[in-house]
Amino acid sequence: MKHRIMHIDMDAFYASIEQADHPEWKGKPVIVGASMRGVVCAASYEARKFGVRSAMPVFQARRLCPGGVYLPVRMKRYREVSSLVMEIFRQASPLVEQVSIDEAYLDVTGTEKLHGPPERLAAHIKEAVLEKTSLTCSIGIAPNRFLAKIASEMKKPDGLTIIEEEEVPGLLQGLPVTQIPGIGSKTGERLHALGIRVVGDILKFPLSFWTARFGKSGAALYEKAQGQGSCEIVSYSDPKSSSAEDTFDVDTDDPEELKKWLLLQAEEVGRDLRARGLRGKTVTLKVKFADFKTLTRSRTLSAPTHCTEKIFLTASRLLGHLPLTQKVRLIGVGVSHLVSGSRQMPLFPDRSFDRLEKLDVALDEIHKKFGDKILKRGRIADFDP
Amino acid sequence: MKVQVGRGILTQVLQKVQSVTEKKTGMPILFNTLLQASDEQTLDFSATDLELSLWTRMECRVEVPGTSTVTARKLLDIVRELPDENIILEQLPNEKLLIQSGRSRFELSTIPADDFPHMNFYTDADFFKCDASVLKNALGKTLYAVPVEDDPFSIAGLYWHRLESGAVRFVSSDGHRLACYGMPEDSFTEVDLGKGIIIPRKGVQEILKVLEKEEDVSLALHENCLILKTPDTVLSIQLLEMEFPDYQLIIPEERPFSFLVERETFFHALKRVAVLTNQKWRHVRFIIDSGALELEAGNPEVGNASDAVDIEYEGDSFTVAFNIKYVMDTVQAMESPQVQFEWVDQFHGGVFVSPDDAGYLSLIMPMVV
Repeated sequence: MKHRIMHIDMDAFYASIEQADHPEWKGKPVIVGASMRGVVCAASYEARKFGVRSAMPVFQARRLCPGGVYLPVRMKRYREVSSLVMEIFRQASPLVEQVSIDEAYLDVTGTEKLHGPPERLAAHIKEAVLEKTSLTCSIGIAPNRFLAKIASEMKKPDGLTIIEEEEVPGLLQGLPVTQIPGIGSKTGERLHALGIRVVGDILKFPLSFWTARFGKSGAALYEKAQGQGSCEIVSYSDPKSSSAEDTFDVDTDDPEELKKWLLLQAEEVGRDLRARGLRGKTVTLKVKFADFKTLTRSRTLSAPTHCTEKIFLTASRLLGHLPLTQKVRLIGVGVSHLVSGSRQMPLFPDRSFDRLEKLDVALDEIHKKFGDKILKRGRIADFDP
Repeated sequence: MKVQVGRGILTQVLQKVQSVTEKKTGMPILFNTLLQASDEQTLDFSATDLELSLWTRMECRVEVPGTSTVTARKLLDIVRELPDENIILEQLPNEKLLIQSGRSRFELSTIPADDFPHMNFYTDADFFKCDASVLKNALGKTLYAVPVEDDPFSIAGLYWHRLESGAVRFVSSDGHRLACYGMPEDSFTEVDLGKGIIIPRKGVQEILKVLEKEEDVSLALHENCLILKTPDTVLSIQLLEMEFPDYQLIIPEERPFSFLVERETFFHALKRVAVLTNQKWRHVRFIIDSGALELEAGNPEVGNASDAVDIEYEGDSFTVAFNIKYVMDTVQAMESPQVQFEWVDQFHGGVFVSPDDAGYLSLIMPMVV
């Protein structure tokens, strides 16, 4: 059967989320990464016009684009949106391989009967993503992974490119080698030194030429130049844990503030577990101090849980046992030893969490329908990092 | 020390002794068994893991009395392999123990007997006679529910206590299921169990080993130790100092529904459907209907299994799921020809009783599938 691989890449993901959440920044250059390590994490398309790129030091970005909106990273929010869009992808195909927070491969081979031609499926996904998140994405469809990735890069933002098998040789012929995924600037320079600029040039030399110079990756390069590549999609495997962590803008040793972070993270982890029908037996607290010394402490529970309050209480008890000798720059909560499947009821149940579990379900529902701004747990009502 | 012993009897004795020594410990002496040969023509073996101590005596020909200690595991392994019934054990001047049989010779390293830890068997405590077969039955039917793994949330021991009515009970639980064996009021009247005692799992196993071939058994409780005595063996077990949970509240008193099933038939059907259970999907679903019990197991990943057995039941249909291993453990422990299953609803534990053995009760909490 003819393989059809789809690559979906969210457009300027972090920056677009900020613009979607704050309509007043729409059309303005938005740069995410103001406080973190002094490096740009994401730049909106408006900011890119000024030459601002990811991984660029923030001071340089400020010089290029002094009028930009500089924002701190809100990882929790981005993860949340990410899981929303991944959920949409999973409705299109059971074979979804999430490769990063804003990028996934889908095997859509043979979905025509269900979803219609690939154009229609792509349009449908874009529509659903826009409706659920107000974000756009770029989609590439091709016979294998690397071609799909090239395709999604071709028309950004909000692009759709379909490469049919018969178009592959013609398209590759004139494609700059640096656009092949996996060819970084180093390899690009070596190729340029050999006089190779476009993919077509690669085929002018035999396979032995490439393996002699680049070894295994030379063979892969030659294969790619012929338009061949893997179309295997490794879908979502059993996760071993779920976790959330945040680095603070300002280091703190205020236990009350730390606990508020823990509650937010417990909610995030709990919600993630609940959405995936998992429970975990071990709760781990991670603390990174101002001097970068990192400590983790774990506790095993009598029965696996996905209850926000249980995760929070366990983590804050662990925090209580930790001497806060200096300020904390990062805190995080993880739940591991995850189980699913049939669940054993205990002889001596801890009924105190029954009602709280019901509350979780209710909050999840409300959150799904109206977003997480509408209703918050009282303890973090005034806490909005 | 030099003695002549029979291979058969020595193997039996060493089997009992060896399991006491087997424990992950950093102390080499605790892998050893203490041998004491006396002019009375007896050879004594002792072993301890500091919580459990065993002393046992056998008759043999003692040529030279004396003492030694050697690794119980290796001594048992050697004795098992020896070709001849007649075995000579002799302490050599080079600190080795010679084990000789026919043309086979083994020399095992020894540790001086003086280094062996002190053991107190409290042989002067107040012992009372006990019916070995009754005790064996009670322990055998409750041991399986004592948790194997160390788990801070359950008690790795068998609870033995006296009810207000005066009857005594053995109870075990791993937090998901409970096995209970009650005895008539006239049994164990001499023993003062106080608030109840908890015998560690290894202790229960060791008692069962001693009881295998013994009829004449007496027991005593002394200074947080349970001591079991037969004419040639003393076993002293340090009890667990923990509080057993108040389990009586969770056994539903009123169990309005029940069915009867042939035990063997039931067990084999369980065993068949168990093939398709795994770590993630451990349940078996009981689909109870008038006259028939359907068993369902399996999972979306591997596949499904179902089987059916005839039951004595007239009433509404009812479905509940349990961990299949728990059900099989229970059904296997019962020796009666029939099993009675009693229930309230999906949220209360299901109760298994044995119509021919009134003392036994097993409670298993359902699973949510």
